[in-house]
Amino acid sequence: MQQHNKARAIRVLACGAVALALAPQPAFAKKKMSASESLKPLTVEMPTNNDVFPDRPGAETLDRNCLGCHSAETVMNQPALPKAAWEAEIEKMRTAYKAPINPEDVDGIVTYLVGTNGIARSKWR
Amino acid sequence: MSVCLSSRRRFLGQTAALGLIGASAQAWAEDPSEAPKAAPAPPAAAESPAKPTPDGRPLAEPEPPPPETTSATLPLAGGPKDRPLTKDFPQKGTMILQSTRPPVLETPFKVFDDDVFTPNNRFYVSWHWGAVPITVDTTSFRLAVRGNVTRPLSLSLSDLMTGFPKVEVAAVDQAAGNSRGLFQPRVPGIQWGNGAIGNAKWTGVRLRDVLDRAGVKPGTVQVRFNGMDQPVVPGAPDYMKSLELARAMNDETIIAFAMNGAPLPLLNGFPLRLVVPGWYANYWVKMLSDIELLTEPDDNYWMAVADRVPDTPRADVAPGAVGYRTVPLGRMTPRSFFTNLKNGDKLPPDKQAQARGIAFGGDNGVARVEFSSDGGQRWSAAKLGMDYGRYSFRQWETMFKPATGNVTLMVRCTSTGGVTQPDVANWNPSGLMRNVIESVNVVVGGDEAGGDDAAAQ
Repeated sequence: MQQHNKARAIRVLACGAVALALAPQPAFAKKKMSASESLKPLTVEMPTNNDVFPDRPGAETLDRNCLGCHSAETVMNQPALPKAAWEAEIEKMRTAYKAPINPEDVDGIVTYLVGTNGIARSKWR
Repeated sequence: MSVCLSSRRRFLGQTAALGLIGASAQAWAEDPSEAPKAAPAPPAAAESPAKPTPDGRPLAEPEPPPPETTSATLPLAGGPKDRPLTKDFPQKGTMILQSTRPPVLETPFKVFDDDVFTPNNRFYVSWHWGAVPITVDTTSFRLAVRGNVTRPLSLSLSDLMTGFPKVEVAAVDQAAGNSRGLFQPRVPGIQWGNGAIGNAKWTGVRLRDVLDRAGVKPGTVQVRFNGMDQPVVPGAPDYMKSLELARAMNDETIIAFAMNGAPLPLLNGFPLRLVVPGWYANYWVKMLSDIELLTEPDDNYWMAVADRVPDTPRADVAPGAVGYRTVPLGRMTPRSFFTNLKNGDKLPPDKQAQARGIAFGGDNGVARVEFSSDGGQRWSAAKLGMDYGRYSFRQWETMFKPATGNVTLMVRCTSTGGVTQPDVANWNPSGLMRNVIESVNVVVGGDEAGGDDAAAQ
């Protein structure tokens, strides 16, 4: 089969586009949709992730404020960032993305992130 | 019957797609490249108890199932680099899990070694909000075309699929933040490796034909696209993107209902997705359900505040810079990658080796791909694979005989627009539009040379 494919490949090299057009099995021929084919209704199941933040002081504050929009891993995959960068991120979440973060919680969240960010997943799971 | 590396791959795009995808699935799975040496993996020993491999095992027909790889290590500029591999997402095979909520999945890079087109079930996934609809009723679905038009439209899928000329384009779909995790200094956001990219044949209808049917009224300046996904927080900005009217009316912009000859996976935008060849995927609005013609430039958050880059060559600014002008994202720039070699690979001494990979010209075709095996001092042209059009990946390959020791291989692409990948990385605070020349460090000459400069001499 591989030999066959190789031979075909060489032929195509020589003949270029003509061979492409005539090839017996052009890519995608098998699953080609026709224009009249209708799209069937579709329902899928999405996986969930209910992990909480790694257990360090303040974790519960992040659980309460952050998990509504994104899973903990989304945050814990972030690199180490300076405190000012984390403050800017939290501010963006609050103002641009309307995260209902309690203003009194902001300092605690920033402290937690500065203290944990950039650590390997293996150490927090 | 021997499955050598080069025949495994559709360099000329002629191997039957389905057979090849099936055959190569094992190759990625057993490839440990994605697996860290000290992976925080669960007890792997249990998965490959006694490897029943005789000495001359390469040709053994019924291969034992490869040990399951459970995590990937991305080539990021720093930690955390490890991510779980997941098969849990609908219509998706093994993917690198960046985020469960919202769903963000990266394509394992070895996938790009197997075919110039990226299989739908390995195609990367990225959403801004966690509330992705999980049900699409294709019978009641309607695409609205409204705003500054003569005849507002409400098109069923069948209206769309049968009422307009059908077109197909091969095009690279790349997130503007692809490779963000390689930015230095690091920046926040999804820490992508290089796998927020894919190449597919998109089938659909021209946006222009649909807009013509609705009748574009004078005074239209932009066209705005919205999908079925919604923010999860009340008052937060719905994800919408706009194109200038001229770009929207360009022949190449299409509303796609198929990808690689099959319906789009839900996570890639089922049932309809805007395809803007040559432009970043941020504009390729998924689950497209609403098109609005605007008489004023769009000031929605995703145009006016987010998805913007410095108005400088290559969107490059010094870290910490302030006060520069920004512009919305737009055209892509050329990039090229190795797909068969990665950092740390060992090559035998005094032997010809093959390097191969993929390249694309951004908003243009690939004029040439050049390869260097001496850290960028000398470059030679690589052989290019089949040309599927200016917006597609183009495969490249070359043979070389590397020097002994630690060797830096580099590849660079020049587009038909005359743009060559730069040798210094750009930087901006959102981690967008990386296109620096990529390099791979390999060790030539066996174990002794490994990581030891003295031995390498």
